Amino acid sequence: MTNRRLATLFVIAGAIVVALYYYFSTRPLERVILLPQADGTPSAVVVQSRSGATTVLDRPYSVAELTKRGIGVEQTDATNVRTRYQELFDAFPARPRSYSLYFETGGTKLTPESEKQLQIVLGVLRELKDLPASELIVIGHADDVGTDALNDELSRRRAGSIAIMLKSEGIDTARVSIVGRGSRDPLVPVRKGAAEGRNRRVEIRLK
Amino acid sequence: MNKIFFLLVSCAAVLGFANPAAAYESGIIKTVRGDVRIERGDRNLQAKVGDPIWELDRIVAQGGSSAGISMNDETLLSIGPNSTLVINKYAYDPVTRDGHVVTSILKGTLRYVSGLIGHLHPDAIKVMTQTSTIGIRGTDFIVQVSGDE
Repeated sequence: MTNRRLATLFVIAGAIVVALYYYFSTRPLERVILLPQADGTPSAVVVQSRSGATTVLDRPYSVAELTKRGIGVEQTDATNVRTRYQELFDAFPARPRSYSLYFETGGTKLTPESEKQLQIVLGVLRELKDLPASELIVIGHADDVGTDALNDELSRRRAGSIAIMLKSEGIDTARVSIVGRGSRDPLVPVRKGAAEGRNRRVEIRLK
Repeated sequence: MNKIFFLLVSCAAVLGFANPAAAYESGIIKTVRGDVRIERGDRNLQAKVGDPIWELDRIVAQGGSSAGISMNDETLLSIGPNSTLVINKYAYDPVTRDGHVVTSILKGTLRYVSGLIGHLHPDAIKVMTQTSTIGIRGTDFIVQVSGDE
């Protein structure tokens, strides 16, 4: 009778040890969840554990779970993630908004179409400029006619002229910055030296 | 007259970005709920909306607290309750969009949406935890770390 009791005790103790071992070796140390891109384009993260295991997540809502044993991959969904990580979504900053205006060649004069559109953009910006800790970033671009140095300067002048106009229209947040990107970032890539109206632009980004 | 004004604005813009003192400011706190601290060197600051975030800052959200941060290159971050985030390395040139962002989530939860640096130089972006390194290919993701490891 005592022997049987002892044996039972050993079995229970053994089971507890195994359960504890299993718990600690498979308990997730870390989870990484890939979310879909806002614009629907494909994306991926590469998760590499300190012990050398590597996993690539490239499907929205796939989850990499790191344990002492390695990395496991499973699938979750939008509802599950929203519920579990509600605070992260609530605290997430607003995405930047972007408005573009286009210029006549070689200077800081807006095209007639952009001149017309300007009032709409100003209206939107007036409503949004009082968002908490808002920042206004005015980014100028030039097309690829002329030297890079000239285009850098022209793109900065375009951004500067729009920033001054915004200020005179009463749209000035505490943080305004002006960037001239020259011809580095064409909206429509064209061969060097070709004039392209869609590349002569200023992006007004509010974030 | 107008031309001189443009020139001044352009110069200010150039000087602003070349100024090394300005280079340390890497982002801005956009949302705060509850008790969120910024640990900067030996200072411990109460985080408010609009506060600048610098390279090497440690952002700590206590229980029931959370924060949202927008970096200069439009990398967007949020951390949940009981979380610690470190901005290990940050540099961004708004003209060329060169730069790097290395952050660590030491505990808690992080949502990370990569910004403009990522689109050109994916390898310049890294998120580290105690147990892993996460490399990014133009991405929106969440990391959750157990705090007791």
